[in-house]
This record gives sequence, C-alpha cells and structure tokens, in this order.
Amino acid sequence: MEHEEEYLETDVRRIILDNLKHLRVEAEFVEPTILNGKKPRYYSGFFSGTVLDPANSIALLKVKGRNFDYIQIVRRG
Amino acid sequence: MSEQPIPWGALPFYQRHFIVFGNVKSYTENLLARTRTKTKGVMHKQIIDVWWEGGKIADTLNQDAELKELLKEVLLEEKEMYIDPIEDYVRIYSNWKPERSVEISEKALEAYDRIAGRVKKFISELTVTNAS
Repeated sequence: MEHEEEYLETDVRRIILDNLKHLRVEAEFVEPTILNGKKPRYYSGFFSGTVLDPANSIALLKVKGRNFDYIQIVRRG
Repeated sequence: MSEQPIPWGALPFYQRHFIVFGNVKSYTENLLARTRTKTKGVMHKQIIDVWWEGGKIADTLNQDAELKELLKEVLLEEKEMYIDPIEDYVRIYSNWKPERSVEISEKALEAYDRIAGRVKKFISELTVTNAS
C-alpha cells in the first residue's frame, strides 16, 4: 500500500520543503548547530511525556516573513 | 532525551517545532502553555471548545477568539499544541506525527504563525516591563 512504505529522512526533508513552498513560505535549510550547539535540547521537560522522549533533529529551516524564525524537524528515537 | 537513544532505534514519527527567538530564561513559567479540548462524536469527531492552560501566555491566547475558532479545526489533525520555552527561544509544537502525515496544512500554518506572533509580542512586553 502506498501509505505503508517507509520514507528516508531525506524524503521527509524534501516533503516538508515542498509543502512549505506550496504554502508560499520562504524557507531554506541551515546547519542545526546554529540553534542547539553541541548539546541539543528539544523540550523544557515541564510537560509530562516529553521528559523521557528521545528525539533527534533531522533538519532546521530558517523562515522569512513569518512570526516564527525557524522550523525544526525532530524525529522520535 | 537525545543523549539516551531508545534501544530499538529511531521511529518513523516526527514533530515540527516552530521556533521563536527571544531571551526567555526569566519568563519560563509565564510562557508555558498547552491546549485542552472538549469534543463530541466518535466517527465524526468535532471540537466544540478549545482553551489554553499554563502560564500568563495562556490567558492572552484564550482572549483571541479568532485563534480559538481556527484551533477547533486545526486540532483535529494536530491533536494538541504546546508552547515550550527553552533558554533563548520558545518552541511551539504538536503531538508526534507519522511520516505519511508530516505535511502541514494551510490552516495549521496560520495557527502556528498566529501563536508565534502572540508569543513574540508577549516576550517583548515582558522585556519592556522588566527593563523599566
């Protein structure tokens, strides 16, 4: 089935970028280290469920013309 | 945490974190917030009410009637939204999404943008108040 197939991380990055282009959002990939440095932190830990959530960044997009500055794509595990 | 990866490896679930910059170290409790919903129906689920719980930002967001109406639609796909401040920036995100539904809808983007705008304004107001 079409929806059962697994995607590569590169596919997910492309899907997101295409999606944002379609929504007329000006975005480009930048180095994730700009945001996190060497010790990435994705949650403050105040919300239960996020404390032990293992996560890794797969992409960071710098966005122009919106109220948010970046979009980070985080993968579970 | 990222330092302790789960033994079965990465899972095909993703989150999109919308990041707003600003030095928020001193205002963490004011900026923490999450959505709550009241729903009806099972097969054709409808959100009949949405509200924010958390710090002072929750009160600001609860006053935005347009955002509430937008979230009634958007939270059917995004499930929940969190505002999570971490040192130099604020992260706005929803629940984990499977890779087949990682795309964002126009309405959801509008909601995230509106929330980010409110967060940005809130941070600048707090900064001005504390400086004076």
